[in-house]
Amino acid sequence: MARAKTGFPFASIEQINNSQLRANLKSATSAIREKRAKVVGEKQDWEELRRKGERIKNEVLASLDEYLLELEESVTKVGGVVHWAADSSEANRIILSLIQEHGESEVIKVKSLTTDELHLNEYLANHGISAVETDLAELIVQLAHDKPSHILVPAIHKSRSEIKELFENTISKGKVLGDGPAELAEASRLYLREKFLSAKVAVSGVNFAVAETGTVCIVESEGNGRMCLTLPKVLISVMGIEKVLPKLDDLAVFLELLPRSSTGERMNPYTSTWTGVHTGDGPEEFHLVILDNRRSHVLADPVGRQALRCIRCSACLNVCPVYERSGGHAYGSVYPGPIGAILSPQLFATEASLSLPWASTLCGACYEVCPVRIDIPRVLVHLREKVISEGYKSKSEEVSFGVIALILRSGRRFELIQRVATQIRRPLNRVLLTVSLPGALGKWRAARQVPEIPDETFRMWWRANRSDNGS
Amino acid sequence: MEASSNRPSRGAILELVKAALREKSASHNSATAGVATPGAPGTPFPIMKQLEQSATDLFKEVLLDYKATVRRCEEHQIPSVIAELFAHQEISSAVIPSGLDSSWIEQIKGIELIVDDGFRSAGELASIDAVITGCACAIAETGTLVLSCQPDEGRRAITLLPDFHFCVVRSQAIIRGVKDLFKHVSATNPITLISGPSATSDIELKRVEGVHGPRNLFVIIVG
Repeated sequence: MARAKTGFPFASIEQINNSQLRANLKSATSAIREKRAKVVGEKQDWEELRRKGERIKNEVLASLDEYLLELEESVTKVGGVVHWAADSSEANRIILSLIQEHGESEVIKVKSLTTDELHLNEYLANHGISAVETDLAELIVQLAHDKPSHILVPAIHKSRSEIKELFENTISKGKVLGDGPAELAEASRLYLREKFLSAKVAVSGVNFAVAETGTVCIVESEGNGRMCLTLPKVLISVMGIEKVLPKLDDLAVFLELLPRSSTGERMNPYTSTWTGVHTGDGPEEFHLVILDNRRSHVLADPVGRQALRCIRCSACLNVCPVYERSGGHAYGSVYPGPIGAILSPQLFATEASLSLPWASTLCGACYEVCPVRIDIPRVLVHLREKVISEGYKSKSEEVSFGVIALILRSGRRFELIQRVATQIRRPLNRVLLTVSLPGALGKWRAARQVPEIPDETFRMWWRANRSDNGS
Repeated sequence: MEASSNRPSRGAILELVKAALREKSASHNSATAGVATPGAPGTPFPIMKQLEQSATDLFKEVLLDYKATVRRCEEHQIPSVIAELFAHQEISSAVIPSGLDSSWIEQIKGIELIVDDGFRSAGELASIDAVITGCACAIAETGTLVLSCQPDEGRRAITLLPDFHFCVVRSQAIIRGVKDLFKHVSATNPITLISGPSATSDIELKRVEGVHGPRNLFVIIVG
């Protein structure tokens, strides 16, 4: 079977030729990268924390069925209702029927990648229910009928003037806004406050759920999460099966790892935990939807399963040279970047997502920053092998790698080819850099900057300048 | 109601999970074993001055970094410090939880003070300017106030809807790091960790202080 003409190699071309997007991404990722490095540097026990995080998640995965049962029991004991969803359509049906039971046609939402994975908003819209995103960036993306481009800052591809225009046409109709971020945030505050005060049902994701106590945790910055978790009568929270933690003390470990890795803060402004239903404070009904959606399939792969340790911090996006140039949309998945490149093909296995293990230079920067030490490069190579062995082969790739192998196998052959290339570098450079190339070669070059062939090879330079030094 | 609809999936999911683990349990650790660790950075971490500082000093410093207003005083000064902070803000009403030490608010002048009875609607609370609370404990390293719905902290909505939050923290209740949080506070009640005023960086990554939660945070450290 040939690889489909979709997926990352094709989707990324448009993105990397958008210089505005690339500039936005570069300044955003480098700013968050620096903040992270600073606050991680403050923790002398950071490596120990990472290893703890890794160990706790591995322990959870090794006995996942038992922890899920324990969580179900604890949540039920404190007045919550647990639902099990094998896939996205079952999760959507459960959520829809809960909303319909309360006769609501509008719900408020806390930013949640899991509900993005379910395409819950579209599903609810098709059934006459509007789901209002309350995180500022998610709201921007929703109003623009756009898609998130970054896990943490989903509207990073939008400029302030675009947002101003968008708000003037939607939530601030008839008003003239300035384009200062504070004024735009204020416009969203006014619009959303009304929603918060009137909504009866809220839908959220889950950052962590503690099996021992049934405690659920959400971390956020703006206060929209607190609004959704506190004011409505009914709260529906959706979690992937891998989000469970054994004990409260384990939660404390992740409350150190997540904010420093994610926003580069010592702690995010607001973290909420709740343990079932609390009389006189917060929702009267709490529903926890536990979602599989092929996570159990990922669990069955002993190398690939470490992707389930992910806590969605997005540190790997910010250090990835490929993400910085392609942006999140090129990955065609709710999970972009290095973690998306190993999670999406395993979770979704669509033809397009099977191209993602190649969307990497294998430089390893993602592994170094991962707070739960997911060896992303290793899983990428493993998935490449798996995808190829399952028959997704490309003839031209096979031929070209055959030729490359032939050359690289012998030092003398490699030198000979290099020497020939420098001899004919002028016409060759012209062909490689300017002339439009046919077929696979042309497509390959369209997304890359090919370096010019230099006047001399390193070996030639060494011989001329250093060989008399005796080495 | 739900039992009938998702019993089958419950069993099916648990079976899939068990099968996934059974099949490969022997190689469970192979995902991480035998791989060189590039994780450890080459340069040593900077020696933190945090270690030399008392938890209270560190807490204050981190709070200031969050652009919170911080005052430190002795027990008997609490009423006057709160009154002084109020006097400099445009506040006409404030809500307090029923268990708050009533002497703390004695010196506040010209402001409508409302004791939360637990029944006010969110809309009513949203029209109140300020809230004054105690806290269960605080975390120095992260500048975090820990609220756990005790009588002097109130229910969650009262510290969420007003725009000004005044919180009294006793220095003996300040713990150093997040690690021991759950040894000091019970999760039976809802817990809210507050680290600075609400904020967003969603537009061009420019930080805007104050979105939905209180936009102004005042912390009074006692002792």
